[in-house]
Amino acid sequence: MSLLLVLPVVWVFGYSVCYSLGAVGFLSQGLTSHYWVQAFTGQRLAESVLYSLFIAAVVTGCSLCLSLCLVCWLDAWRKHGRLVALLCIPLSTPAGVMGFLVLQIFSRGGVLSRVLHHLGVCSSPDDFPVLVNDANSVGLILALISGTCPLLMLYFLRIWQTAKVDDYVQLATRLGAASGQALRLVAVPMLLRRSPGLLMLTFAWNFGAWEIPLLLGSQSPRMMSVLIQQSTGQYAPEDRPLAFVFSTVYLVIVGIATAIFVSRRSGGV
Amino acid sequence: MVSEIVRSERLTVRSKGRDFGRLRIRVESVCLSACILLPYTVLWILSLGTGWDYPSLLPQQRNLVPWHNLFSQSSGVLSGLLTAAWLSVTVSLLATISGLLISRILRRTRSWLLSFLVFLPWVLSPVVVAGCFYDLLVRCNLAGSVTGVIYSQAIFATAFAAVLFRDTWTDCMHRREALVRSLGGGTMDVWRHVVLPQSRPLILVCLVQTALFSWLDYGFVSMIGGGRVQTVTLRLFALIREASIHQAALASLLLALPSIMAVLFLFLKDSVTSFRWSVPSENLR
Repeated sequence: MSLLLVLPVVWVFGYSVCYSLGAVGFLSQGLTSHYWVQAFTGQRLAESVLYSLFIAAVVTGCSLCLSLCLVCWLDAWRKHGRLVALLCIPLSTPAGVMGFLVLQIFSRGGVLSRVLHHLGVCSSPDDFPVLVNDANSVGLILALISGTCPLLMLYFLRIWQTAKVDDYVQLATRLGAASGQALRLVAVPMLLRRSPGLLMLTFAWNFGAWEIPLLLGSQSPRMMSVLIQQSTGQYAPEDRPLAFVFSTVYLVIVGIATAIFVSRRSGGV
Repeated sequence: MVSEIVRSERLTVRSKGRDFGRLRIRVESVCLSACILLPYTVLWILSLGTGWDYPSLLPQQRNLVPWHNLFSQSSGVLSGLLTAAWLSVTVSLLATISGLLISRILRRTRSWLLSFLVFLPWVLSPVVVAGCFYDLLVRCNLAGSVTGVIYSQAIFATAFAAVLFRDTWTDCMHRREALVRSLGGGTMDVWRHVVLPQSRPLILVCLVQTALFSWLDYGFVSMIGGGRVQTVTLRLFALIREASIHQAALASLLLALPSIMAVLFLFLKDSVTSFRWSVPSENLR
C-alpha cells in the first residue's frame, strides 16, 4: 500500500517543495527562496492560476446550467432509455479525441466553416471567426463542456430516478403550480442539493485539464498543467525550479479542495 | 346530450395533447441523437479518404489509404495499439487487486489521512505528478521504460479502484466473514466464499475502468515514457502535430471505439455500478 499510495503522494509533495526551494536538482546551489520570489513577482503564475480558475468555473457553471436545462425541460431522456445510453459516447470519448473533433469542426478551415460557405454565409476561411487557440478560449471551453456535461446529465438523470423527483413535480402541479414553476422550484433545488461533491470534482478536473488545453488553448495565458509541463522543459534546465514552484502551488490548491471534499463526507470514508 | 358532447370534446383535446406530446418527444429524441452522433461522423468521413481542400465537405479522394497506412510499420498506430493493450491489461489487474486490498484497510481504519491520500490522485493532473515523478524514476532506472509507465499509471488506477471498492466492505460482509471464521474457515476461505463472490460485479467494472484509464492515458506515457513507450494516444498527438488529419481521424476512432464500447457495455449491464466510478456514492442516495 505504501508503494502505491503513500510514497507517490509524499514524494510528489516533498520533491516539489524541495526542488522549488533549491534543496535538490542538478543546478541546486543550496536553499533559496529566489524562485518563489521570482514566481510571485512575475506574471506567469498569477495569470495562469486565475485563467485556470476562470476556465474551470466557466466550464463547471455552463455544464451545470446546460445539463439542468436539458434534464428538466426535455422529457425525451426519461421516456427513451436508449437516448440516455447515447450520453455514454461523449462521456467516454478521450480528451485528445474531443480536442481533435473540436479542432476539425470549429477551426477556420473546419466543417462548420465549410458548411457556412455552402450556405453562402462565408466566402473564405478568413470570414469565419477564430474559435480555436483563440484569446477568448471558446474552443477550449466548448471541448471541456462536451466532456463535463454528459457526466452531470447522467448524474442528474440518476438522481431524478432514485429520488423520485417526478412524483414531487407532479404533486406540485396538482397543488396548482405551473409546470415550469414546479421544475424551477422543486426539481432544480432537489438536483442541486445532491450535487456539490460532483461539482467540486468536475471543477478540480477542469482546473487540471491538460490534453484539451494543449490542443485548443492559447499560448498566453496558459492553463496550469500546460504551464507546468512546458516549464519542466527538458530544453531549459534553469526553468525547472520555477516549474516546481508552479507545481507546488497547483498541488496546494488541489490538496485544499480534496481536503474539503473528504471532510464533507460523513465519517471521512 | 350536452355533457356527452363536452366529454367527447375533452377526450379529443386530451388525445390531441397526447399526440403532440409524443411528437415533441420524438422530435427531441431525433435532435438530441443527431447532436450527439453527428460530430463522430466527421471522424469516419475523414478516415475514409485523402485530401480535404477548402471548401469541400468530403475528402477529394475517397479511398482506404489511411486504413492501409495503419498496417504499415512507419505509422506506428498498430504497434501503439498493441503496447496500449498490454499496458491496460497489466495496470487493470495490478490496480484491481491492490485497490481491493487497500479499500479493506481504508474501511477498517476509517482514517481521514488515508481517505485524503486515496482521493488526491483522483483529482490531480497526471502530467503534474509525472513531472515530479520523473526524477525518482530516473534514479530507479525506470524512466523511459514500460515498467515505469505501468508503475505510475498503477498509482492513479489503484486510487480509482480503492474508491470504487470502499462501499463493498459493508456490515453484512463483515458478519459473513465472522460466520465463515466461526465455522473454522481461514483467510483464504473468507476471500473465496465471501469477499470475491460479493464483489464480483464491481471487480468487472473496476477491471474495465482501470484498463480504460491506462488505454487513454497521455500524461504518463509522454512524460515518463519519454517517447520510448509508444502508445496510440502518443501516436494520435504526433499525427495531429504533423497535420496528417486523415491518419489522426483514424487513430481517434481506434482510440475512442474500445472506450465507448466498454462504457456502453457497463452502462447497459448495470447503470448504477458503471456510474459509481465517477460519482461519490452518498450523492446517489
